[in-house]
Amino acid sequence: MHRPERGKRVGLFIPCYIDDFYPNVALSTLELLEAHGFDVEYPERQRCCGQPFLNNGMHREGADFARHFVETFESYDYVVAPAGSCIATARYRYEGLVEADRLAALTPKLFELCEFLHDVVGVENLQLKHPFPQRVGLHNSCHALRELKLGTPSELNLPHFSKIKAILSRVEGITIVDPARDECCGFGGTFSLQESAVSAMMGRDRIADHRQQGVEIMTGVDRSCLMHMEGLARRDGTPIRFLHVAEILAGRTEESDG
Amino acid sequence: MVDHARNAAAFLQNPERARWHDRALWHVRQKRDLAVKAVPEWEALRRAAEEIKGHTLQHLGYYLERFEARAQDNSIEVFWAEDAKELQQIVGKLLQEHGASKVVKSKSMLTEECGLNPYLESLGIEVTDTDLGERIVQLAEDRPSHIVLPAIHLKKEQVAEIFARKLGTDPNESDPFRLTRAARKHLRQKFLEAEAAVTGVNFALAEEGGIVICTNEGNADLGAALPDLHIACMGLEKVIPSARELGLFTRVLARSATGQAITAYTSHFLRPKPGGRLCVVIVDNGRSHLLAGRQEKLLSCIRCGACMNTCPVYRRSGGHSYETVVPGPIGSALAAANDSDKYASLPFACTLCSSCDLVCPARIDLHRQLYQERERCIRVPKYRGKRRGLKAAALFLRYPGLRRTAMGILGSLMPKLPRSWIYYRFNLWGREHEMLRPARRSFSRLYKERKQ
Amino acid sequence: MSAREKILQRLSDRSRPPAVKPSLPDPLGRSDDLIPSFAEALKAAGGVSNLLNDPMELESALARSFPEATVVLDTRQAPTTGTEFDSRRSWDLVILEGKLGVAENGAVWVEWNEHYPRSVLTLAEHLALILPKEALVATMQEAYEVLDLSSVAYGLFLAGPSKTADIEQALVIGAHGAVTLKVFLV
Repeated sequence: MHRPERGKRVGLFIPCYIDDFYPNVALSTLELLEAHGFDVEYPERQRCCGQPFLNNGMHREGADFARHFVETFESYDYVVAPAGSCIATARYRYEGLVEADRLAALTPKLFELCEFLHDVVGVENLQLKHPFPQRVGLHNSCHALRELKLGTPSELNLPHFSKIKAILSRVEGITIVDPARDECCGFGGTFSLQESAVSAMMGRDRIADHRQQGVEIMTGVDRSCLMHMEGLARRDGTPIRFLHVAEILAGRTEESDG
Repeated sequence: MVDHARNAAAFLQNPERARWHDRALWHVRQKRDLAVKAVPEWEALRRAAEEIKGHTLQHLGYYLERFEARAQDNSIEVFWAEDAKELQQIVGKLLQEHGASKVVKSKSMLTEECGLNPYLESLGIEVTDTDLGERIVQLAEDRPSHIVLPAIHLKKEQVAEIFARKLGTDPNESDPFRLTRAARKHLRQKFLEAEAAVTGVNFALAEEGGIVICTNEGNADLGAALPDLHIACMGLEKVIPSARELGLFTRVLARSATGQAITAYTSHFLRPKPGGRLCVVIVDNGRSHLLAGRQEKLLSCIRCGACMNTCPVYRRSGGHSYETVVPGPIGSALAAANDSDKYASLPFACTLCSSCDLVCPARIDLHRQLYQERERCIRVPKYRGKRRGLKAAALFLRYPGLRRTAMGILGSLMPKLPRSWIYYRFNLWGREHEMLRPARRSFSRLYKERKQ
Repeated sequence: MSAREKILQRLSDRSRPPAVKPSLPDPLGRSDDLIPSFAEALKAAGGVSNLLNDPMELESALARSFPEATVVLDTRQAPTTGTEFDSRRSWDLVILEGKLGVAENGAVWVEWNEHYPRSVLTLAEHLALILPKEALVATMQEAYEVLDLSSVAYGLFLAGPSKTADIEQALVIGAHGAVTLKVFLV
């Protein structure tokens, strides 16, 4: 197998909430990248990408985090994160906050995990060793779908594709189920606090949509969206599990110790 | 200040109604998807529409003057209004000179924006909205909640009740067909009695010097055909270079709005009717101030309403929750651009899902506009607490070690705390969600252990 | 300063005539099969199309299609001079000539020659449009390339009868204008 990228240095970006709440997602990502021959490093000095501040119009605070992100990660060949929304922030919202040439050099090296596996590793080179014979509902998180363009959103008249599905369908035994709507789950960071009523209805609607397709496990590339829905499902006692795509790919699908 | 979250929560007090509202509008979105997918060059059309609108705004002064000159060649009278007040006065004066005491109006968001109806009524002029949805809302002494479907917030039983009260129909007759027939009969009389017509404008053709109005009901055509005075009110952004470009906009407007291939009536008023007057009022009312900044793109809007139908927040909060004439994503962006103090909550009534960007036929970067408006909106006094909270969070997140330790403590404490301590009233997350417990060992700890 | 001057002054840096016109995308080829596409689109718009193989059949087809119509206005004929025309009266049937049809949406271009008041168009219960088969184009873009608006006072694309869905999104055919619309392709 030809692997021109083997041995390249990957900087692993782990969003704060994954570090704290979902270490399995981060471990899965690390293991996957290593299994595909990359030299992966988790720089401990890393901080939040700044999204909560930028999305709230607090650009001064956001700029601090943006600069720190660039400084922390610019020396790597690639920067990979198991989070579409943080990568979208760095790719699309740092403009004007950090030095343009340093940003321009970093941006093409930024990848969401599935995007990296698809675009850099290549679907045909994937080494996935863990079967997962389950029906899995794929939640298309907005930043991954509409900003990072990991798939064709239903709004556009373009040929259908999905990088996430292309990767996930390589898992032995898996059945990927699409919900009726590829709609937002209503998390939106502080939106879920400020507009809690609308946010909760959006999340519950997504869960109900998946349940209607006979799904008992939901997955996606943004654990933040899944976390929001998980909080709602637990409140309601809805029997549904949430797994990050990385956990399925790496076979870490048992209940975590959280 | 408008409090969207509070209005939305009030709307959601009736979950059944909210679910109906969401489904009705999602259905319109699906009809739009079907219509769009029948046009293979759809995405190219959107790019062209974006380009044409950008081009026209770049030469807006030229095209407006050109339109004026060519319209005057066609015996159309052209008036200019700086703001809502001037529009009111121009229209009021024209009607009074004409001796018109009964006016039929077809749908125009601009006249709604400029408060034309109440002004004309203060002059003793009877104004009848003739678009069915607008008439329902007018009879109910309510306000439109959507720019294309003004009465989408009302159920047929409510319409039956309103009609029974105002038109004397059977209150138990809530069949949409029968209600529509009753309205047709009632409004036909209004059309026949009208002494003047006021309409909006969908497109003004600079080269041909005429205006184009798109309706499904035929109310603009019928309204303008009988009386000798037709006053058409347009925002200055409605001008396009020529009929050639209209060929593109008539392909995207109805498909985006309702999923129809075209509206039933696409009417070109290029000269007054024999013996009649056709007056066009060009209105600024804050529009030109949006030019030359990043908000300029907001003037590319052709008012199709697609961003409302697709917006997951709009569908679950209702048009009235925005307290603006134009609600939804485009309305929030416009309102915040014009008055960020009053409408500070609107750019936050959005998850930045960017679905609106992708359905917009003019490819307005709506989610980006809302994102950028937040920078001004967060500064209003009402958000002082939120700002402070975020500043504290920024400080906290600056020290990953501190964060990890704190989360570790929280994780071990949580199971020991009584529920009421965790779900106290300032725990915004806990209003709807169960709290999730931090993992016993964070990833960074596991990573360190793994390396050793 | 007048409102006009104030507005145009604010737009003074945007008053240059453009050097080039914006480009339009080419409609993707659907030039064949215009008649079936037109018929299908018109049906979706709530109208009916009637393809006549022999132009001689037109009058009998018209008569057959609207047997109930007694108050009929045929705009193909100029009004008799000297008679007072009541612009407020309703018509069972108004017959109009279409100049152009658009296959992608079933719309027919009607140009008003002002021989009759404009109101007859919307005060007709039923509309019959006569359209030459050769006058079909694929899309609106092509339609406007063909149309010459320079001598038109009032013209419109009519796509099916008037309609509304303002009550609970339930489609009702027949809002303020015609309740049925039939296109005769000759």
